[in-house]
Amino acid sequence: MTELNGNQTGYGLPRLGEPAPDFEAVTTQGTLRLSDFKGSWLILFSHPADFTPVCTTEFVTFTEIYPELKKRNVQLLGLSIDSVYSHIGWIRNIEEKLGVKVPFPIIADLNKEVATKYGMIMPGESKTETSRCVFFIDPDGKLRAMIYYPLTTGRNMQEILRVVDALQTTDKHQVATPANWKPGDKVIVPAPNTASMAEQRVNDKSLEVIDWYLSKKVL
Amino acid sequence: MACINADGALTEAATTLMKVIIDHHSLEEVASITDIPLYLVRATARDLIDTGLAFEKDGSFYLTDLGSEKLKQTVA
Repeated sequence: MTELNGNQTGYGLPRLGEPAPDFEAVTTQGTLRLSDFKGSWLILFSHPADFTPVCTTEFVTFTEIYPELKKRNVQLLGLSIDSVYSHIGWIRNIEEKLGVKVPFPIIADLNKEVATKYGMIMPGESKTETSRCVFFIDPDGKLRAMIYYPLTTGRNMQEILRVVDALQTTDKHQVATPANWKPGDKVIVPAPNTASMAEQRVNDKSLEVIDWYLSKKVL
Repeated sequence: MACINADGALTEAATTLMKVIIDHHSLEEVASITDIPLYLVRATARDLIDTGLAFEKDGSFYLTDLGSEKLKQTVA
């Protein structure tokens, strides 16, 4: 049980829009700190355990999307409650058996310090393994999105890329993205927050105005 | 990414970085020149400083006398 944010105890969750919990951790690429990633986006993700089937398929597919993530200035950082020697053995095994070289670091969180800070352990599922959590941390170190999957469900890498694209599009254009949005689709213009702005909005011919509170545009 | 191997020799990554640091670049410039991710450059630079092989001044990095000597031994 760890104290979080000064007033929470237990397996607390970090909050969106707040600074991501800081850490210094041993990884397969040496000791890394969250601040080492400042200036780039970071996807911090956890997996239940090394040498397990679903996790292995995920590491192969995380590696597949790694070039696309790099194009978007995103780094990957894995984590599980295993030793660095286990991680090294596993990624060497993945390379040997599946021909895939894992290019990103993996935290060896044997003392569960990072896992506890990020609420990666779901005791109802497992008290000794991290669930399949994904944290999207922006270049300023702010937590921008979180996805949690259970132990039995492998993650959808296209959804992870889509969330990155959506967050970066929001930052660049100050817009929101509708359900099932993908790059190239119309985006949502923030709703007006005064009556006069609402009146202007319904007459704005530059937008696709469905109603004053729901307007889209092409970027 | 530790900068010293178990046998006391510089790691490959540390050697690569030190060859660039010798020209007093910022870490961002080092990452760009070496094509090593910036997070690894930062971590390795921290190791180099902690082991007394480099120091930082006004945003640029320099090798210490010990670092210069170690690099000479490695590339010799």
